[in-house]
Amino acid sequence: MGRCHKVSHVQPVYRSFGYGGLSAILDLSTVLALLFLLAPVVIVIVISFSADSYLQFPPSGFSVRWYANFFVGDPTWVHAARKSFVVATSTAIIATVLGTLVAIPLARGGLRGHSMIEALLLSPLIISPMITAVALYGFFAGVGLIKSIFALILGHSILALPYAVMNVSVSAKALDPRLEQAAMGLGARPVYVFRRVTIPLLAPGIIAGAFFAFLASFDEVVIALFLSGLDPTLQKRMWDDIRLEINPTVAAASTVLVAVSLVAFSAAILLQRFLARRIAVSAARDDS
Amino acid sequence: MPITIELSQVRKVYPPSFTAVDGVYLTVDEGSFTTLLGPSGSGKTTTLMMIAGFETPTSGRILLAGRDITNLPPYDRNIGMVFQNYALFPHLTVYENVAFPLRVRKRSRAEIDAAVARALELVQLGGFASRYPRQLSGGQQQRVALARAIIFESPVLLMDEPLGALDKNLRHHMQSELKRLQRSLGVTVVYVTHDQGEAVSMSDTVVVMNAGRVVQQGSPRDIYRRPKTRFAAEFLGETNLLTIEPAGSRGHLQLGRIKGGPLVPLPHSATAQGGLYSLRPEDVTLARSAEDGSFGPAVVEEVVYLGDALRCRAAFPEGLALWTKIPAGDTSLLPREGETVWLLWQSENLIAVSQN
Amino acid sequence: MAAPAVIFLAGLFVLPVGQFLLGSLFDPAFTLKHYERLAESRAFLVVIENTVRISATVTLASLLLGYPVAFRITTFNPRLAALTLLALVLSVWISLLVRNYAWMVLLGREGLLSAGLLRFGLIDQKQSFLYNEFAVILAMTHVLLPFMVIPIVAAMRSIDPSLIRAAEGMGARPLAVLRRVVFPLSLPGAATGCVLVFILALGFFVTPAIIGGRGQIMVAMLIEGEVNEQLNWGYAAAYATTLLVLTLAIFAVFHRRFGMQRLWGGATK
Repeated sequence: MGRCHKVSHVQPVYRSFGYGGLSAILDLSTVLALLFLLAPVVIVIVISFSADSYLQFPPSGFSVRWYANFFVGDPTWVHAARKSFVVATSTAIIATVLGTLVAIPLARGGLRGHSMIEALLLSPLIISPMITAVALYGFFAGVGLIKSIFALILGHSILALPYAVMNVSVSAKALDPRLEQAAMGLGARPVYVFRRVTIPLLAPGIIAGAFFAFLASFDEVVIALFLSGLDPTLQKRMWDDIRLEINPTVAAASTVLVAVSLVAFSAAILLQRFLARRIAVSAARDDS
Repeated sequence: MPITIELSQVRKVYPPSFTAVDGVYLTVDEGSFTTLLGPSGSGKTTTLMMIAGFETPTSGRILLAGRDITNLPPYDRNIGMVFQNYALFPHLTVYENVAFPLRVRKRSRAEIDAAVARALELVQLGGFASRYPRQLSGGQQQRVALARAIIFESPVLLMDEPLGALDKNLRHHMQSELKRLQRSLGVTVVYVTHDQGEAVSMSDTVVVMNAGRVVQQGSPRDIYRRPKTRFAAEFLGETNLLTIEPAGSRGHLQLGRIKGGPLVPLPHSATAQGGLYSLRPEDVTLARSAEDGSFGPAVVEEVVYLGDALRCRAAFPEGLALWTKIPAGDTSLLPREGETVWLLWQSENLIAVSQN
Repeated sequence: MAAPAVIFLAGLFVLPVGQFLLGSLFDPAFTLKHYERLAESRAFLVVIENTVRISATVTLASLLLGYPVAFRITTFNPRLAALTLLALVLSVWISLLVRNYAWMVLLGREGLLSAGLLRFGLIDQKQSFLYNEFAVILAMTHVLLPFMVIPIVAAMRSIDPSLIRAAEGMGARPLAVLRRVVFPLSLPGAATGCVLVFILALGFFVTPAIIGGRGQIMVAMLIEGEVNEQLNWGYAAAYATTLLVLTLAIFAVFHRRFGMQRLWGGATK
């Protein structure tokens, strides 16, 4: 397939801008931006170890009592975390399966209504989650599923689907259709080809898509507010706590959340890199 | 020889109106090395794809050993194929790549082991079984692709410009290798290339194609020495194309006037109307002075040194310029620019060709 | 193969949303009363103003901070650039609630800002910087900044390097090259970033809900209130439809000028 149509690496010609007064301003703004993005989260992590029972910065002392409360003291937290995991995992499965099935023909091209389907797939990300949440709430209430965990899983799957599709698409676009042709020419029927050639070669995208679908569900607030039912997810539990009282247990919960995000994110990136390297195609030198 | 593959009035049209293959009739003899030769866009690859089953003809039939396979899916045709880019499965080792067709056919592990070892030996990649395609050079990848295509002992092997990505020396080497393999396995090979040197050196039969049609089919020597059309004459090797008008006769010899050139005897098979003739440069010799049957005088306009030979262009006063090709053996006899020379050729080497 | 996903989305997304939005016109019979009420509502006008104003400010802030950052990233060596972009993307995947909570910690009465300003004598007692526009804009920019930076980086990286070399060869110094070559060619990327940030900001709920004050009520909050407290689905749908129409209008303008494909390219991770 060759290189992408865009220059996808840093152009060395830009480096000439890396010197002088201009560069100082750029550096400053970059550092500021990164600080801006990451510092608040760090602060929350610090707070979670605070010994105070109300929000105070800097904390007067350090303790793990809020973690104790999260994991042991108040069982509703762990309960909520478990529900979040279950919902997120189910969402990941549904989103990845559906997403893979749609990403393959989409990446190949020639699908009828191609741009419409693309637009449809991306629309959940553009429409305000509040509209989606309320609409689904009304819909599921109407079909009597509002108390069921399926409502939440399905709702999150809608939101997670675009991420799965985007990730699988990248792999699908890089997949050389001649490989599948070759497999068929060698005698393999289409199902065998799909199982033994297509899917293994799409693995990096599928795995990455699954992880991001998981995260999309795990981190989701608005739909969870409406479709959690009697059993809140971790996000809903945090929301309730934040609204009603500022208890540093939320900070502990937040840190746990950040940890999960970090692990899932890193796993997604690393696994994807690892798998992609295994199926790289380029040849070594060209002698016999 | 019995016919293995037969294409009958095969057409392939891509909507809305692009005709890639336009009524092709061709036969491939069993056990032969047949090459589809033509420039890009000639339809040769599309034809190969239809034999393989990756494209379906818009009309016409394809027969394999007498059986109509026109609409048979590729995985049921049992035809081995080597692609231009090798199409090795990057997520599988060399062993697994080569074993793939046998795994699909549900052969036993022992059988597969033995067959893979044999196939790798045949292509001289014995110790490479556990490597991955990305660890191999282009030439090695190509041989793995070959091993994979022959392992299930199909009687027919299709190859789509498999040597295109290799450098010249490797290509020559692989050409002999492929030929040797074909002979020893006794398989029928249908080979696609745009390189006429490759086609001529490897094939038993060459099928020259242009613009979706078969221009001429025959042995390399047949087509080279007796091209039927202008395209065939020009595509295979180099030639001088002469427009000749009939100019009466002298005794039992028919005469013709070459446009811009001398009056020459025509070959016995010449038709009365004249027309286009092909004269190969290697059939034209030079002389320093007029001889019996020579034509001239002509002035040497350009001399191109090729290492093992010389190409030389000599122009007649009326405008005709002819290329001649001389072995570069004895340097003292070589022409120089500006010299006056006389040209000689046998009238039987004037080959009449049709315009298209 | 594509059918299951399409059916899934059509049945579980398009259908419910459509049903909900139609409720603004059919309650149950056809009626325009919700839109009439909407048109006359002063409160709604104020909220729309809030929403657009806040979204625009956030977009501007993201642009001012994000553009230089995007440029600096393109001048990094590949490894540093990848690392920085990774940090940006990572921040997107940290829960929204956690990030908003972080701002509550920072800006609250007992928070870092308050304690810091007190220490340096800039204020004489601890105070809360929450529940105002400043806090909301800060927090929303925090969340949406990556959506501005990434499209701009993509646009800058796709500028043909020979254009820059040509400009330098003709005697242009770095600032001039920036002004005359890089900047104009990066504008589509900046536009993509702005549209993305603006549209996402329009629909925000969590941030204004927990960090904003009464002057920061945004449309999504109205929808929620109407459904959860007033139980007036029809009116809520009218709010939602207005929001949607606004969003689609922005989209349409962007599409006319730049084409929709840019958005997908800018939004992918």
